[in-house]
Amino acid sequence: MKFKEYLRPASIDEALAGKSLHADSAFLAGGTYILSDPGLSARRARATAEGGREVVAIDISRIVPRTVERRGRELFVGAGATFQDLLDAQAVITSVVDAAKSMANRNIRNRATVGGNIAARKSCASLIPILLVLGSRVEIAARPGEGLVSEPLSVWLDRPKGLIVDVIIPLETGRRSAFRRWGRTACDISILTAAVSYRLEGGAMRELRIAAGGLGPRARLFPEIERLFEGKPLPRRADAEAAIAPLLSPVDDLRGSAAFKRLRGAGLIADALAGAVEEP
Amino acid sequence: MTFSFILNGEDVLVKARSADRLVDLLRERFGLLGPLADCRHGACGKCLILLDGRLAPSCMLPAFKVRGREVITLEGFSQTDEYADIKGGFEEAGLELCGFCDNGRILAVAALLERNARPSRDEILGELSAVPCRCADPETLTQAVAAAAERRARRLYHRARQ
Repeated sequence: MKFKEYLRPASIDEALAGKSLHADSAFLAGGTYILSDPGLSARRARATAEGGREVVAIDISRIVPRTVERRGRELFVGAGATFQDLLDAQAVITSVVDAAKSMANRNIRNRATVGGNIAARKSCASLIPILLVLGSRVEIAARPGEGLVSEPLSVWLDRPKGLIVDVIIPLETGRRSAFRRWGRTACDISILTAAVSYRLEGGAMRELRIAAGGLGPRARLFPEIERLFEGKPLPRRADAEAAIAPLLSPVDDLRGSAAFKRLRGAGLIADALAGAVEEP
Repeated sequence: MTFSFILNGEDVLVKARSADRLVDLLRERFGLLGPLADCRHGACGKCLILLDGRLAPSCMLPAFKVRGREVITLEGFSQTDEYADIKGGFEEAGLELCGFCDNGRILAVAALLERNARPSRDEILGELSAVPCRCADPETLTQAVAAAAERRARRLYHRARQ
């Protein structure tokens, strides 16, 4: 992507006004999604940039908050917080730390922001599955001068609008959660991601939520798999895998065949179910 | 577009295209060959710079993002006492870097010691994971950074007593 113009708004309202003024514009924070061109040699990347789409870049890195703090039973993460900010903060729970750590390498984690990872709505997004199963909400600025609107992340992902300002992660007592990921190498893009969360009451899983990425065009919740295990005791790993695999309908692509993704995806979800832990 | 920023302590004014990346600007316009442009997607750590004191891969930064900010490259950093501490610590531990990664590793250590004067082994290896080069083993790296931290602490102590 090539930038034809660069705006540096001083406030969120100004950023939204800029966005509505230019049809072909993009919010720019860390830039790791817009700028990265892995797999392309420098020469080819430059050629692509020259011939590629021209956009107006709206630099929001100074106006969206980048604080990570715990307020009561909720974790407030500013959309401008980088993945490394999330890892360095003391207040973050293990499953979210696992998800943030699965993102490429430290250089990328120093630049890439939480808001950007959500807003790109990629299937392989590191944070979306764990945020979905924890029941997170996003606070968005939709129109200039109207303040912030809060809505569930799952709703926003279906109909994205405005600019994400905050992500609010509820930390419920008794809720267990886990995140698992599969990629070719630690630094590579994720091929499959899975996250689960549930309460264990009298040996049975309640309020079970399962999300996975890499299986379709976007990471999403899988209610059909949740129904399979809701209210039942924790299954044996092999049983869970066998039950989940037929419900997954991944597509073949350059990252993996459908058969492989079905097998490995079911394994990841089963792993996450077995490995979920509770944190105070 | 024309913009100014602070490069190694000096105000500079530069004209750049909106598609330019900082690493190309530094190398081609300013002749600063410390940061290398290799992978161009933030994986190799050879292009690291200090942006407002924080470690940042200059290949992932559109040039215009540094407007009004402070950029320090290895060339600028090598004029400082902190550089002498790090270099001395590396020599003391017998660490010799390969020349591809020294830019990134030295700046990563600088950023780490600025934040945390006595980093633990995990913190050292965590910060240095920004430069995945195989020319040095983790033990020597840890010892070298600990030695650099020691030198830095001693220098700051003596300066405070003067």
